[in-house]
Amino acid sequence: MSVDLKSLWRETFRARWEAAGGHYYQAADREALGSLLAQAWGELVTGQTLSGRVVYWVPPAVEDWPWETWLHRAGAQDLFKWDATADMRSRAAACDVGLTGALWFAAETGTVAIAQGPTMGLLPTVLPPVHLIVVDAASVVPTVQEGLKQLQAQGSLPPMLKLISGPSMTADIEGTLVVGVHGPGKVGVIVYGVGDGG
Amino acid sequence: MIGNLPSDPHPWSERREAGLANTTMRQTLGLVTRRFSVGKRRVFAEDPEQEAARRLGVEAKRQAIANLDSLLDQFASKVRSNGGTALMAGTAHEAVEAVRSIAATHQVKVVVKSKSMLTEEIQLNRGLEAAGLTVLETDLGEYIIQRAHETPSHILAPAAHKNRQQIRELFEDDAKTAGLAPPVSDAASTLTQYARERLRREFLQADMGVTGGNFGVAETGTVVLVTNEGNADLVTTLPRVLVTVMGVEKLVARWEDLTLLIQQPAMNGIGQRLSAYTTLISGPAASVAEGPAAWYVVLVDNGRQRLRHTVYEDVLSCIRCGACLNVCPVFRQVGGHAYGSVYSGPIGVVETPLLTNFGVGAELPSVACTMCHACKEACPMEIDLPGHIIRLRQEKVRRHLNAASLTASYHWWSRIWATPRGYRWSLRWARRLQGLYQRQGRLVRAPGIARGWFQTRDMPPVAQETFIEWWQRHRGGLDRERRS
Amino acid sequence: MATVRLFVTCLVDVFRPEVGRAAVTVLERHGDRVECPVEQTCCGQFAFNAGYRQEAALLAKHFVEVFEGDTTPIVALSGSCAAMVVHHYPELLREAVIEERGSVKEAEGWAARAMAVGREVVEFSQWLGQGSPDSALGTVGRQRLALHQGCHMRRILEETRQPKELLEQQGFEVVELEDSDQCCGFGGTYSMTEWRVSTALADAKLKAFQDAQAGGAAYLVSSDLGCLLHLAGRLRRLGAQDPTRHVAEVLAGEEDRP
Repeated sequence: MSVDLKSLWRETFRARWEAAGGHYYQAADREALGSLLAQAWGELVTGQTLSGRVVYWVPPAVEDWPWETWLHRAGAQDLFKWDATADMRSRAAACDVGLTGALWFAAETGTVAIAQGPTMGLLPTVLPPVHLIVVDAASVVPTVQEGLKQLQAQGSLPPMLKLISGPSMTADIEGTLVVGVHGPGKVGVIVYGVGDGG
Repeated sequence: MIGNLPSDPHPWSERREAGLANTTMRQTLGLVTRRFSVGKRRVFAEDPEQEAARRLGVEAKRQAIANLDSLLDQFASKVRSNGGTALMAGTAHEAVEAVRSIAATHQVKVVVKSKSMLTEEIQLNRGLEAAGLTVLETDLGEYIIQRAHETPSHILAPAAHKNRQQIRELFEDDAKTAGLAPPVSDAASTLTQYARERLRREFLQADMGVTGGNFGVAETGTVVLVTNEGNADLVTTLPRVLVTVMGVEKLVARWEDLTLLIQQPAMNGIGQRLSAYTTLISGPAASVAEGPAAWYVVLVDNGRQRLRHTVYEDVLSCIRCGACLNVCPVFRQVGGHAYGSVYSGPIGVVETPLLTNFGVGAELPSVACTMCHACKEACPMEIDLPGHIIRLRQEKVRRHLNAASLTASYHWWSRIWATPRGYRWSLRWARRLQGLYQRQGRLVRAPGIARGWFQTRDMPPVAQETFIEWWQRHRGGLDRERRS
Repeated sequence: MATVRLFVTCLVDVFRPEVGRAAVTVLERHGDRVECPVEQTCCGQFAFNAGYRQEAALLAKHFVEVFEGDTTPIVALSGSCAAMVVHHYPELLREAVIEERGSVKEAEGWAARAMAVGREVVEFSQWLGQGSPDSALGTVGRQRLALHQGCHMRRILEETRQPKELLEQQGFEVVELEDSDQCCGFGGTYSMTEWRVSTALADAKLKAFQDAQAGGAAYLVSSDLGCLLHLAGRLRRLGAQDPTRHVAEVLAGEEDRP
């Protein structure tokens, strides 16, 4: 029952996220993740005049996966792993791609929730022109309301939580829609563990 | 305490004419306000359960206003226990002083801001610049009008009155002083790209970020910000000091209340389910990797709490979504600047004179509303905007703020028309005199308060036989027979 | 056969009495016995909307006195005036009487009387639309009409079906104007004191009507004469013919009268 529900929510998420201008990929298993990263890189990064510098952090649960290998294979040049003990501002600003994990993603609004924390930073979500988000398929929730309720139920809130529902955009000049104002113009969500019954 | 709002020295008539003459603005506002309204209808139709959330959200906002005293205490102590600092400012002046002293404590030189109506209200930029600080607006629209030394014309589209050519010229001048390559065309995407690169440099040098707040949650000490551009996300995470300046009325009691309300600004204002970026801040950063190392919340009253326990109390539930502006026919014609206040559109018509006890915008209830009720239909927080506009008009009558000729006209007209004899007498006189004002069987001018009508419109003359006179002639007897 | 009392409205009475006569024709074809309390004057909406509460209350009290004590339906020839009586009278009289006399008891008395009258008030097309759909009015509608739904009919009476359905049942084709939910800019006193904005809005509405005319619409029809006088007055000033018709004129088959 819950399996079906979650795959339905993921479908809704995908529709809403793509309607907002986001890109969506889902990997059945860990092995597929590497090639999906390459595909996402090809669609979001390649072709833009970008140097391929990446700032990244991934959720603790999947930290031991071969992210560096995958990223290099996808086309990344330099990799900066998020280091919470150093000032990351100028380093993140010099990168073209930010890769981060996420707490959960919500179907109805097509939203991804990302928290600031001791090992997780928000600058990679907003400084580079491309933002890739890797998220566990099982963490899908039907609505932002539900995700926020779960977060509160866990006890303590992160100092900063960000809900992302599409690329950075504006209509401030004559009402014309333009993406990529201050934040990324390209955002991609890569869902992993879809085949794990998540 | 009576609030203090900046006011435009130009009279309404000049402001109105400037608005009517600005075709760029009228076109852009026409485009975006309709796009927003259509989008709003679409998202509510697609997600009908949001209507239930909205209704519960209204209840939550009303409750919060009722319990505001205790919520303010709870919020402040929660912010403190989360590692931040909460300060109360009774007036605009106190609020500016609070931000200045925070800047001084942290030896701040460059301030970056994300869009905040409240900081416009308290004229924070002027106050900080007077203290020698550099202040940069980072919302694209705000950045454009800051370069032009102007104020926003729509709370969601601040530069709607500027066209691409004008913006390009502003950026060309800016490029010279900044030593940057000017934008190569006047395409919206090129101009946006210029602003991105230009502001990126400033962002990285900024010591302090200033934001407004869309919601504050007392239970958790959380402030919520919504933007589409992502500029607030840079403002909140790059500088080492973050100051949130927020009206006291933004508080809700519980986290659950926030979940009801969090989608409402975007759904109602711009027809999106949620803004592209929603940021929830509950404390300073957890590490040194990014900002903010220090977080302050300045809670501003500036005339707000004075409205509690009055018939106008619901005004404090405004979530600044802009839905009332988007549907207001007057707003679409004259644009935001014509209101001469930080707050424009129907909510500005009500709020400006209320916050300032008619010190600013006393003319607005009379001049900026056709009483069409579109705002009431649009307001997700169910604020009785047209009712308040009538009440403010009544208040103006009590305070003798209207033209004496208008008041005299209503005084005599109502007394004469309150009896059938007076009514018929007035029509007899009108028939006798109206020949003076006719051309080709049409009234083309008139004396007194009706003069304005005839500036642009004709009117049929008073009928030689009114309907009731005709009725009495043809049916009067019959009617009496039937009734008896 | 129902008896109805006509709430003529001052604008119809004074400036377009033919609308009232057309309404009588239509109501009688509908099978109603029409009465018209000849003591009625004006509902006071102009004064109320301008903030002149005591002045509006004088007219409201007169209206209540003329129409109270009888439960025959009161058929209003304006959605806006109907909304005034139904939705604004009770509060207006309550507040005005408290302000003037300081007596809550008197105020509540007036509010109750206003409510009793308000319960009987129904707008003309709403009244006709209450019957069975096939109730023939003897109208043979062949034309295409552009409909302007007045703001108060739309948003205070919350009437969205009529007069559209009624007109369609009589064979007319009804087209919506572009931006049909935007105010025409009339607004009572507003049209005089703020004639610049008011006229800009009239021009926007007339631009939409021009487009409808290009699509074959013959007349601009409304349940509210205030809007129509405003739009017609603007067109006449610009040298054009008057294409505005009250819904009663159209239903009476008198729309072709110049």
